[in-house]
Amino acid sequence: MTGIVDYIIKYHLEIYPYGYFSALLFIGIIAYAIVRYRLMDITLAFTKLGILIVVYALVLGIPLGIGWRMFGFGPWVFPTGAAILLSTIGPFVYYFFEREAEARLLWEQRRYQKTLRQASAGMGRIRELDKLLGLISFILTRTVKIEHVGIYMFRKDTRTFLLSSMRRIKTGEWSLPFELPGDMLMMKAFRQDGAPLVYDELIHSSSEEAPDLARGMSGLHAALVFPIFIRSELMTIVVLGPKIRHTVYTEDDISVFTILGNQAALAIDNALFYQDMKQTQEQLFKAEKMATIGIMADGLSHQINNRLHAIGFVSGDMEDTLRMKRALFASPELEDIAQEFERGFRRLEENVVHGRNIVQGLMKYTRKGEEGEAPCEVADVLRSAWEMAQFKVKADSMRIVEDLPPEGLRIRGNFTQIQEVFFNLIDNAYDAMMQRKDEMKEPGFFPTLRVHAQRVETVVALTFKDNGIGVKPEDREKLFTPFFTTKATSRKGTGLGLYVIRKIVEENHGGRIEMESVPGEGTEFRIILPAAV
Amino acid sequence: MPKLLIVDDEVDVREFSANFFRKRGVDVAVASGGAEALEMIPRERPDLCLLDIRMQGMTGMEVLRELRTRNDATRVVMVSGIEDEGVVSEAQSLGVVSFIHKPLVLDELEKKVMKELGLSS
Repeated sequence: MTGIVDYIIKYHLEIYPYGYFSALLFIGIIAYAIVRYRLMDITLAFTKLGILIVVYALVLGIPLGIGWRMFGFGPWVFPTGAAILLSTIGPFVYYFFEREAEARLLWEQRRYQKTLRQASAGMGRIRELDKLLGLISFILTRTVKIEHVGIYMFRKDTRTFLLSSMRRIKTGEWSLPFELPGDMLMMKAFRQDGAPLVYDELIHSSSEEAPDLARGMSGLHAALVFPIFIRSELMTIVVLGPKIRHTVYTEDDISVFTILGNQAALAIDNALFYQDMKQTQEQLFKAEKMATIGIMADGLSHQINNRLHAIGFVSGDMEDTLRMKRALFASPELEDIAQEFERGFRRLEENVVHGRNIVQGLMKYTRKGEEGEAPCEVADVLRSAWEMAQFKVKADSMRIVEDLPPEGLRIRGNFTQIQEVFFNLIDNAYDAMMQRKDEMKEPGFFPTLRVHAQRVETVVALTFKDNGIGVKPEDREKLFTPFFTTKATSRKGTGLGLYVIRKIVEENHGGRIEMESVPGEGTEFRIILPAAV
Repeated sequence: MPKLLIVDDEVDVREFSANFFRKRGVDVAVASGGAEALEMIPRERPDLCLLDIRMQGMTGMEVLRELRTRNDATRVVMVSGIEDEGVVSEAQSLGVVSFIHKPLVLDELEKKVMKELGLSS
């Protein structure tokens, strides 16, 4: 623009006295346009400028005017002028520093808020309890940077708190207990006033229960434990280890946990409801199936048994005739035929016996044993189950590695039934391990079943871990249903073993049986049975 | 010749069990149901009766009860399926020789029947 208005001068074309006349003309036109067509809010600019001049005329003028009159012009003018000038800038400087300081000091809180926002969005979306608890512990360790987090969920049937999720940043030689008794002092304190427990506060507290509470917390290596209530019931406790930087937990931290706890409560409640619903649905479905089987079992087993009975008779009688008249088959050709027939009849009879075992198995174990309950030594039951298994298992084809407490461990239950459970687990493990041996042909593989048992509070927890072929994920659900078998031929398995085991453990003994398996690596059965007092 | 009555509503069982014992020199009669058995027993006077418990129409237990109310002491071996224990104990109180469980093992049946008929080989 300026190039247009002053090019005449740039080219040294002097038209005196009008050298800059085009520049002046340009300014004139612009000024006219601004005022005439309101291109800029010129009145506002004038007003602001006017106010500034008036205010500064007063601010600067009054003290300077007074000074002038009293002292005349002198050196006092400079400090006074400077003071007035600085006090004018003061508020702007103050405002700037305040903002900077705030950003720096409240950075922690901002981060918390951000995490909380993310957490609440994330938690609302997750419906599976395991994943949800995993997320919660992840959020906690990430936000506050703590050494470990453990989440315990209340189990109604055992009235204990079970470790349901855990996250550790620092590793050590200790581990969080698997189960906490529901009547621990800590739980009582939570139920009473619902406030989090802080270890550092407890050791300085003078209250009567404080030392015991602190001891309970140090057992969990906890610096802070906070409760989560769902419909005013203590459902979850969250155990937090010390901060990585070993600073104390602040009020801010605790209030963050409280908010997070409330959000988690909603999400957990949601997940529990969902889980419950799924379970109820599955149970209903299962119950329906079992009822149908129950109604049919009686008539069905009778019918099948009668067929088997007839087949057995027909085949047995023919085999008998053949044997009696053996002398008549003098020629080698006839002798061959006779042998083939005999073999066929025997095969038929074997099938009859196998069919009978299925029917008997079903009828036998759906009924409760007649013997009473008594303390049974785990090692004894295991030994007799192993002896039972010897009919099928060659002793040197697999090994059992026992890890039992040396002082002995006793289950309260029916010896025969628990023996049946152990026997079935050994038998299944054997088949799975043989299948792996035959199919995978790994050098150095040796079928090994590890049996571990320990007492946990009022129960005995057992694990049977084999290194067999494993269970495919799609078979897992079906494993405990009757007549389901994965064993190579139906001749090998009746499909009743695990169904019977579960009935014995869960219905007859009020225990629990769970399974975990990695295909190609092995299967682990976990059993909980009541301990003998 | 000792006489055996086989009572069963399964034609295969009747036919082949009859055959089995005939080969062993036993005089075998068969009845296809409870009513027929009750009619035959006074006429045939068998030394032993193999009586199936679960049959169409009249059951083996009803036959047994009827026999005993008639003061008929015919020796009876009950052939049971998977019956509950109430039936077993009632049958025992009505004086049965023994029980054979279905599906049976022929050797076991042979031994039991031959012994009762005094034909132990």
